[in-house]
Amino acid sequence: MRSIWALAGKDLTVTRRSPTFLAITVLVPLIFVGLYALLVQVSATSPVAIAQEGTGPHSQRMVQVLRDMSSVDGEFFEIRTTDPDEARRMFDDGEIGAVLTIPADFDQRVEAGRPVAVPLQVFNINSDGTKNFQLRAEHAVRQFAADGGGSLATVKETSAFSEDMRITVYLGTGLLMFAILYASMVNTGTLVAREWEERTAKPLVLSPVGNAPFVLGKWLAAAVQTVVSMVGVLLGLAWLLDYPVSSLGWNSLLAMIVLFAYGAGFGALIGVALRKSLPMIPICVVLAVTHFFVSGYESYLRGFAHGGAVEGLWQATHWAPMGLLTDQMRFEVSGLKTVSLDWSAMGWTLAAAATLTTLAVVRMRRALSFSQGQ
Amino acid sequence: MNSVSTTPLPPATLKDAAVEVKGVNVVFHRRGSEPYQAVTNLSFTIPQGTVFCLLGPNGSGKTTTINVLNGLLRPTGGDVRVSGLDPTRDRRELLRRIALVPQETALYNELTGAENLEFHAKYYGVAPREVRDRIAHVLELVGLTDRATHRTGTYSGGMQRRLALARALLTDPEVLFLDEPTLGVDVQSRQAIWERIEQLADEGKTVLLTTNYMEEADALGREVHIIDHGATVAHGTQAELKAMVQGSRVVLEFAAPERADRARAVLDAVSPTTVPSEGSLSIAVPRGVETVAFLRQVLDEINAVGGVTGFRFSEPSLQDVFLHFTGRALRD
Repeated sequence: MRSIWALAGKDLTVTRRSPTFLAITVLVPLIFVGLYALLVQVSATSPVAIAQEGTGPHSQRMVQVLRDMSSVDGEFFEIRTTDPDEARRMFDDGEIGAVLTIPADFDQRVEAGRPVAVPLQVFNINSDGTKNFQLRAEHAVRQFAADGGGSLATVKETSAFSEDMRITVYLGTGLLMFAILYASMVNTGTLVAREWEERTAKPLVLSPVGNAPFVLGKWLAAAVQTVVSMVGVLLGLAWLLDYPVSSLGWNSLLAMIVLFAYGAGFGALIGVALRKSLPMIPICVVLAVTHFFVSGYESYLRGFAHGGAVEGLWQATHWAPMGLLTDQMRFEVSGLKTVSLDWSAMGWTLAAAATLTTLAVVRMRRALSFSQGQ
Repeated sequence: MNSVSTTPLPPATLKDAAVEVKGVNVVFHRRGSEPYQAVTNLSFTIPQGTVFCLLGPNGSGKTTTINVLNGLLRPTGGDVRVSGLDPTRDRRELLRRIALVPQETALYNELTGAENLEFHAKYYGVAPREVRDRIAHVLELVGLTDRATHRTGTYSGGMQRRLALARALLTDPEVLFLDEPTLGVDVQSRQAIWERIEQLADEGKTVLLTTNYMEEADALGREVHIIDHGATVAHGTQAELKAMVQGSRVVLEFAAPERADRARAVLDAVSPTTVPSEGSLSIAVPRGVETVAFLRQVLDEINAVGGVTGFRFSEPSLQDVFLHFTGRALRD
């Protein structure tokens, strides 16, 4: 046990005095979180203007409907102005993506029960954004009709879960999984690789205490470093994505520990195979991003799964236990009590971690027995 | 290369042997390439409390031999005993009795000298109550007490070597393997390390050191085993080895190194030469020749080159021994 503490203590002292790689394990996930934070805001809210030419009570109510439309992720429209001239100027200048015009005869036509058109002018450079404007405008018209006792049909929705999950929670938890995997891979991998890179591995392997303290000591140091990394990432998630960090509980903690073990096993294997720190950074980014899309952000992959290899890959995500662990965290953070601990997913992930670690130890022995003079 | 002379192997077993190596072979098999024989039929015995030099050029199999002795590498054939133990079967017990100073110092540059030693002591299981005293003792032994609180990244090459030696001594080993312990070290530090090694042998420890420095083997090796291409070239005490190279050498001093180079080009046709130092040339007087006639021939040859400022006879060195058995200088 003293050997394990000694190795972990040594590694943490070295990292404290040379913290570059630890900083990278915080920075890379934070960059992802920051980028997604920007994209989520753009996706949730659309800046528009209303050219309110009608001034009667129905026109006012229509504007109010447009203002009130929202989901758990935020308001549908960010209405910049209702002044017709200002609205058209903003559209012409590219400051907004669409203008909804409430015509001057809107009130008279509604009063008379005559059809009325609400023109939607869209800067349709992006079909996804255009679709958002169209759907939300149609939704507003239906909502207006329903509020006014109109005869338009309304959609009756049934949901898988009792509450909608905010996109920031869904995405943020996927990013959290990405961050844990990335940090544990890089932290463990660089701690292992640096022993070869700096040619200090031989005295460690020639210790009479055997291999176990080496593996466990590296894991302990990597675990401490990953906790430090995760504190930074969680702060970033809370600040940039309004992620409800305080809702993370025991289920999430268990999932994170298991994900750490998996990432650490992967990192140890890559570290001992490469025996160089720097190439680990991009390799771990690729691996963690792949896990993110396959297991942490499955709905994104589902959007492309219309046959071919992508559909096969999407089907495979249902078998990846890391995805189930991410859901375990997701449900807890969302306050959904319907889903509890997934022991099977944790067991399979731990089995994968044990396999990766065993391969790393085998590889380590081989690396030292033929050492080109080291 | 000349044909390698085979010399009688040392006694098969010594009662007080610390290391016994009998007929060891090491063959590396790598995918996509021919098997590589790194060590061929290597045999030697090291009595307890002696300094034993394994001398050979780079790539001659010295480090591979050490890896076999400390159990990192299983030999393809042959038998090995270190402190009476089989390095493969009794590895854990063996590692309690030996210590290694690897070719690279294997120190953590971000840690201080004392922190490096403390980590090593704890990792190797030195009793907690002894750690502090042992560290103080070995630091004093290698003369680094004053620099103990400095990071080893700021140490000179010589200081790092001394600290690596101190680290090996923390566990009070019976047998020490020093893999090129003075590689890249300045003359002053080298002398300090040599003194420590001699002191260790005087205290009863067995030291096996590998080197490709002739002067190191000359200074330390009570027994020297010369290997090349993984095979034994010659072995014995220094006196025995030098006696194998009968005859003397003539050392010529030149006014300028260029003159020495030109003379070497001419004299190599007469007898193999070596360069003991810049601006000088050493030429072997072959056995069985008439010395006066040989000297006359040498003087005639260099007469055209000119610039000779000194002339003396010298006794054979280990360099000459190596040259004698392999037909080339150690660093060729």
